[in-house]
Amino acid sequence: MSRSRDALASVEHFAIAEEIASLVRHDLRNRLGAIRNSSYFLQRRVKTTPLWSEEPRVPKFFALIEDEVVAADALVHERLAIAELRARNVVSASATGCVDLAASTVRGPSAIEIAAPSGDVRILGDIEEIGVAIRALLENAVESNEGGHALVEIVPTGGRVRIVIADRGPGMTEASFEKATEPLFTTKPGRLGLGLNIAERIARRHSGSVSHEPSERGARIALDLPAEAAK
Amino acid sequence: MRQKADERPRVLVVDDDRRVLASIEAVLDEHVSVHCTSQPTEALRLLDSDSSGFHVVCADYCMPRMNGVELLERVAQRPAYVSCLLITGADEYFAKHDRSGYYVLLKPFSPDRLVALVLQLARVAHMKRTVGDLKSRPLTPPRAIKS
Repeated sequence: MSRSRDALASVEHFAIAEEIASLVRHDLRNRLGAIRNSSYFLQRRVKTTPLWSEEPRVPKFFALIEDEVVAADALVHERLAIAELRARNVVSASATGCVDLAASTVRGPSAIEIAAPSGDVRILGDIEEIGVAIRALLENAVESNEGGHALVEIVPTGGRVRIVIADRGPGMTEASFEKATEPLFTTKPGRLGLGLNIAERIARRHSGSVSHEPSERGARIALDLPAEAAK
Repeated sequence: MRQKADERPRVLVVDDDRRVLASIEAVLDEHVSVHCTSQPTEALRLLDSDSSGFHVVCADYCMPRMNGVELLERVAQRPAYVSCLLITGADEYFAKHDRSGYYVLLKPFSPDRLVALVLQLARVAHMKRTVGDLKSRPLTPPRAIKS
């Protein structure tokens, strides 16, 4: 168990770093874009004046700004490619096994029930990454209510597997779910507000998704993943 | 050569980052008539109140309260055709969407590319509106040809 917990922690650290790198990359790209556009505008204006031909350093430095901004953008993309630093291990995995792994490593008090079908439901993916995604959703669920209750339903539907996490908290509307998917949004002190983002990113990497299901009581968040193709 | 202001395609640019907005306006305003706003709701209001019509709406993806995709989907539902261009970084967009119905310009982009794309989309809007006008006119019955 301690090996599993360590494995999830390491993958989770990568996932957090990846989310933060994505935010930094976005902000730097906007800054560099504004510089590039501004330089383009100034260059077109200066080209119509005698300064352009009289001072050879003017066209030279405009070219330098363009080259450096393009190089800086490429550098941002290359240096912040955190996902490429971890080798992924994609294997055939039991959906119930992934849920068990996530549930057994949830931090804080919890009362988690798992409703799985009798047969073996298999997905193709990186078990630890999927474990981190399910754990992020589970921790949101157990923290939403005093008893730390959460119910996980594993539902095979055609070529997909839906892992639905239901809680007994105040529930969510579609709008509040959208809000919760904004990076760094949290209502809990001391939290980063990246859990849903991490789950979404991991789901996408596995050709899946995270969505909100309407519910009369509490919140229901579904992690949808492709089932392993039958041989 | 610059066209007269009233002949130029009309482009609405929406980005919550005012510095980026100002820089995009500077790139485009030599070629098209540019209107800018940092609020998606203001963009919808401008589209409602503007009788002469915008040809293109360019929206950034990441905006609070209403993102660029939500805005452009609402623009696309309007009766008059408006070309829609989403400007976005690849990961932030493909993170959530695989739909279409609007054009996508990925960051980083060269300003020349932005200008070329906006002019092309303005032409598309103009053509689609012209075709729409022709379709809405009653057909004239063919005249008999006398031999």
